[in-house]
Amino acid sequence: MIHDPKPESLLPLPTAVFHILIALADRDRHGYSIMQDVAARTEGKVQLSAGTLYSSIRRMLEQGLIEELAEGPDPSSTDERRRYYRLTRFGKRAAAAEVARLNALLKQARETGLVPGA
Amino acid sequence: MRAKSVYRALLYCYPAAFRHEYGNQMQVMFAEQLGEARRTGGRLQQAALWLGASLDIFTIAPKEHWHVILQDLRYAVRIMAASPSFTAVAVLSLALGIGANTAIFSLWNGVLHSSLPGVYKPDQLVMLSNPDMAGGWHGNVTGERDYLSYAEFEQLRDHAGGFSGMFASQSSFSNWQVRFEDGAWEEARGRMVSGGFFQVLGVSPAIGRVFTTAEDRVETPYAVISYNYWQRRFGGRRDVLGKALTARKAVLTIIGVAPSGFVGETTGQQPDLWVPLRMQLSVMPGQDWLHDAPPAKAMWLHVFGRLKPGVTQVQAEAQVNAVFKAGLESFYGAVASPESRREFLDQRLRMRTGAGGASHSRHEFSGSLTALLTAVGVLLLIACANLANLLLARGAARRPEIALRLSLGASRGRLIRQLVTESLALAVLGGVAGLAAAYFLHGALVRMMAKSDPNFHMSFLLDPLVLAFALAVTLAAALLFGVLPACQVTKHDAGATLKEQGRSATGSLGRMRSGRFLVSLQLALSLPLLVGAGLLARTVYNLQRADLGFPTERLLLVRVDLREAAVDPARRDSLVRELLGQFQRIPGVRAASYSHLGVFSGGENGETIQVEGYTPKADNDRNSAMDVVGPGYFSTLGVPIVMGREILESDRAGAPRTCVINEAFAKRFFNGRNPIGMRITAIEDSEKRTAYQVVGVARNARTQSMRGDVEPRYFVAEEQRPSSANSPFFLIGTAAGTAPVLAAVRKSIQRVDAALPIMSARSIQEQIAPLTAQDRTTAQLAVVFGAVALTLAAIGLYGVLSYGIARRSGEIAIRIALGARPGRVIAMILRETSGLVIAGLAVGGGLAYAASLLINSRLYGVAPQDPLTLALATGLLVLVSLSAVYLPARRASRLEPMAALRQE
Repeated sequence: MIHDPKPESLLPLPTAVFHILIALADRDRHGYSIMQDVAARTEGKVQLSAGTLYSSIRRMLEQGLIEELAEGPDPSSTDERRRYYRLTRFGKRAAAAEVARLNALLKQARETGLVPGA
Repeated sequence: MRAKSVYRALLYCYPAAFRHEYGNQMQVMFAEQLGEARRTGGRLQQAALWLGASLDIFTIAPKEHWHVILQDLRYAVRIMAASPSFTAVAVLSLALGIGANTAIFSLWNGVLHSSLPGVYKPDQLVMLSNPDMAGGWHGNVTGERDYLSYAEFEQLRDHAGGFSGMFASQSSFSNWQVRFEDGAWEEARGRMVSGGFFQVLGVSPAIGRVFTTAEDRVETPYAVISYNYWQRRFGGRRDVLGKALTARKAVLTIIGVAPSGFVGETTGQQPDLWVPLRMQLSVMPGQDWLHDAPPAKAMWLHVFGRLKPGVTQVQAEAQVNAVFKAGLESFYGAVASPESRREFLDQRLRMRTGAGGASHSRHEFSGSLTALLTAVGVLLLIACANLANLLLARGAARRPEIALRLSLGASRGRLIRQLVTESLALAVLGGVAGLAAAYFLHGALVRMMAKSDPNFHMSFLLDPLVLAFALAVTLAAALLFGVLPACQVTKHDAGATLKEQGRSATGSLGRMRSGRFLVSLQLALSLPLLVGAGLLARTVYNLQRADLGFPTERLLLVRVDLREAAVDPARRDSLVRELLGQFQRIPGVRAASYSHLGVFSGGENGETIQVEGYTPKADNDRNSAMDVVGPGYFSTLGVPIVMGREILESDRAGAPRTCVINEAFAKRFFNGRNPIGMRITAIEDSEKRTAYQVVGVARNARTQSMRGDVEPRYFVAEEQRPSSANSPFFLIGTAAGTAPVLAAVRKSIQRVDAALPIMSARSIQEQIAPLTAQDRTTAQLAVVFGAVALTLAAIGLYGVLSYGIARRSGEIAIRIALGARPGRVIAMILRETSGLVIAGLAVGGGLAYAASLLINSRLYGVAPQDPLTLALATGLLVLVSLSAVYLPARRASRLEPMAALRQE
């Protein structure tokens, strides 16, 4: 897969991609688990469809943001069809870059008085 | 369960690769989401899920497809960049193939099928005259009418129902000498039209105004100029309106400029200015073409009408013919005997669609253009076959890569898709370059066509139809050369190919079957092109050496416009005599005479005759072509008199009327009897007959037509005819070169009368050249196409064999090691190749037969199934095939067995 050495070139990250990165931050997950995690964290406001999810996963794999695990974290799992995904170092860097971008934006909004500052 | 299969069906909207990779995951996930929804949310939530999945079809799926296309394109570009020479050859040959097809299609479409440009609803237009004809006729005709007279047009315009409007236009197209204010005389192309011309065509002026029907009632000295002329001559200045322009006796005021793109009612011609028909006597003085004097009519006009909505062509034709018939009856009512009346009344109008307008070029070029379009189509097929072959050979080189991808799980469909994308990318590059090539080729073709019709004019228009054609040709080419190799290359299962890499001592003829088929196809397609080129080349050779019956060297043809002088017959006759005397006195002139028809002038003259001692077998057996000539006509032209004498000075008015006939006339009407002293009576009508005594028989000479048999013709002395308004063609034979005499001829015409316009002055050879120009152009193109086809076929054959032999080098090496001599190896390869060559030639023979029928009408002095041409073309193809085979075969025969086997 193509590893772009500069995560900044991917910014801004599409919303779905950023959500998937967040979902994979604490542990490796399969697709349905990612979808559930995103829905839970956003209180059901973001419902990823299967098409959106796997189209994003396909792109993220190519960009090197995530990788597919050769086998699931629980080898005893009965469902062989499940595929698990893990955040790469590059993915973490990209997420950090996106957070920095959003932070800077937030800071500007506060400094100009657009929104009340903390 | 049903939900699952519906969702699976939806997944087919995604690219196959994506589906294979994630389809199962998506199904599982969707099933879980659906289950969850059933448990918690109920119907609304389920519906939301389905809606989301359906929306994905329109948002995510196209994105995924685009992703695959981009991926394939990037890959295609990398592949193209990796083998620049292959890419260059492919793009270049496609550019030429697509360009040639587009250029000729654009021309073919423009000449044969397109509607008049810039005209409102051309489908409603009909023509009452013959669109293919241009010229005029003074006298009487029977049967279907080619042209109408002005009086007939007026009757139809005023009385025929079913039309919302009708206009007439001068069918011929002429160069006028014009002058703006006090400037110098210059040439402009003009056409006379009736007042309704612009209105019926639905054309509004770019600036100023156009003619109205008021122009049909009185003589209005106005002119409308074309947009092109306005730009070219006046730089688009608005003050052109109101400018005075002199054309012959008329001083016209420019009242308007026609819109851009409008060329009028005739395709392939671009007039500079239009003048009302009522101005005819001032613009074209000498003869009144607006009024018919019984029993003769001046027929010279095209008539167009615009049908009212709801009126069919059949209804309108009936109405038109009723009015036309009534007009004929009142015109001939008083003048003719009942017998000739019946004949005169046997005339009718045929209505044709007028959307394409009149076109001289349509008739003239249609055969050649259709043949050329077929030829370039075949050429593109050959080029595609060749590219397919190259791709097959290259595919073989890429087989390990492809086998690897197949074994890594890529589907065959995916690989075919990618390979076809590569072909498409090549074809699109070729197509874009082809459009550029088409632009230049079109210009070159129009210039070539203008050699046979100096008035022909057409610009390259990238209209939607031409663009669609170019696109269709490009796609078709990509599929033609791309699909077969793509299927072939991905056919063999991965394991076998990977294994084969290590062990290929034996040949794989099966793999080469497609390549051999393509080479046979190329040979088959090349043969008709070669035969066609051969036949056309021989036609041109024959035309150039055609025995006209007189030498064409050292002969000048000069025509002086005597129409103004002809108002006074005595003045006209004395002018002719004076000019002839002047010409005869020019140093270097061998002889000079004149005739009404001249040589290859495009005119013709015929009369109804009665020949002494000859009983006509049918009605059309009483006509003969004739010409009116001056003294010494035959000796000036160089036509030998085989019996009796020619027309002499002594055959003047008052002397017994004499005539000379040609051999064809003697054969037809006297058939073995001695014609000298016999009488030929010309019948104008039942009261007016003139008898001539035959005094000589001249050798047959082609003076009007290159093709067909020489027609029976008789020649009478001008001085023994009633006075004529004709401007004769002077024939001037020179002792040496024609060029210095030509200058002297121009000077002596000015000496007689400085105001006399010279209509034409050129050598007979220059006069004849345009007649064969189209044949020469077609033949040149056909030879080029044939050569390209031959080259491509040779490359294809060479490529396939080289590749095949390279693959079989192990087998051949073993044969050599076992003692096979080089000669035997070469013979073996030749034997194996002969099959595909023979198959190709057999099919090609059939195609060549079809091709020869297509160009039959253009051939001269050679039969369409000429065995010599066929044999030569076949021989050439065999020879080239053999050389293409021999090189790789010889290389194979010189294989070092040990080296070749070690390489395996």
